[in-house]
Amino acid sequence: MNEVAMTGLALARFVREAGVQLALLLEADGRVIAQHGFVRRIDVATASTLAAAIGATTRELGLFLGDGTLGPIHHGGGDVQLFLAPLPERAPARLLLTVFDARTSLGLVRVFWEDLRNALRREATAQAPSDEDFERELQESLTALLGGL
Amino acid sequence: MPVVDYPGREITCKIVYYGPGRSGKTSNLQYIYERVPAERRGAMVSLATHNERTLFFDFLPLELGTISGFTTRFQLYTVPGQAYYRNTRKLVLQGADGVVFVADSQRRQQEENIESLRDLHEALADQHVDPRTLPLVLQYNKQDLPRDLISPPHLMEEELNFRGVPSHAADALTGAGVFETLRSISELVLRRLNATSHAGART
Repeated sequence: MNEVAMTGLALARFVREAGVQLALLLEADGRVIAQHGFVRRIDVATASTLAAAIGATTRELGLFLGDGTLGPIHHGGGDVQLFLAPLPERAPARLLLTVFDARTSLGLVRVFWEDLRNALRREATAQAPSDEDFERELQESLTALLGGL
Repeated sequence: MPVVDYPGREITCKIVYYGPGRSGKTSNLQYIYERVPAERRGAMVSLATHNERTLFFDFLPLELGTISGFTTRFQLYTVPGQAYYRNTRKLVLQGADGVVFVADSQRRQQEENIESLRDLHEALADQHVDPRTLPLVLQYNKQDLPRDLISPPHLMEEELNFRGVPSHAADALTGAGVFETLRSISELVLRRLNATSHAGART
């Protein structure tokens, strides 16, 4: 199974077990890597951009105070809550943005966020392509397209 | 930089064939179109004048396959070589991830080669692209012509290849050197992307 499918499965499992409505796996700059679930009122592009901005400013504030790490952030709204947390298993760190309501709890979300981190850590260890893998795949693909020269 | 679609796991790289008029840029794409597997290529689009010179550009999409989990595609473009299409060349060159410079090996065309290479550097500089960092491959085309009409590859090197980039002697009509050139530029572009992503991963 490739990395994309494994990441998608890990995120789907997180949504199901934590009981959240939407989970977005983001690059630090806000680009969406994977999405599972749906919330009508949440525009994914806007939410991702804002989440990235929060991540960046929080990191900078941390550096300002002598600690550059980003801890999980919870916004307890009325009927919709947000949980933004780092996934530092890869460099650069990614972000998890999840949206949930009263059908689950912050405690459950945190528990399964840890599980998701572990799953992605295992995946990163297993899937990180080496330079050798990259070069082999590049040469095989070029030969398939252009033939042996 | 190549367009990377993370959710769709796709990478699209733009490669532009540059060079003076009638140097063989379109012939390169036509040969590639005819010889790569049909399921790996899209339609080749050519916007040509009535006398079959490239008016705006030729365009050929190719699918390379999956590398590091990303479906990798190339978009090959040519530019019109004639001097008065400078603005068109600049437009086509925008966002290029790599350039193949197709030089005409005929001795009488050497000034045009140099002028076109200078034009390429100016167009890149206008777009705030450092020409020294952009993947570039030189192709010395028309090496099949009689010896007394052409400069051999080692003289073409002296005239044009001051950066020491990969270069290939070619005859685009019969295909000699065409795939070697495409292979070279593909490797440069994707290795650069791989190095960039690794550098990003270390930050």
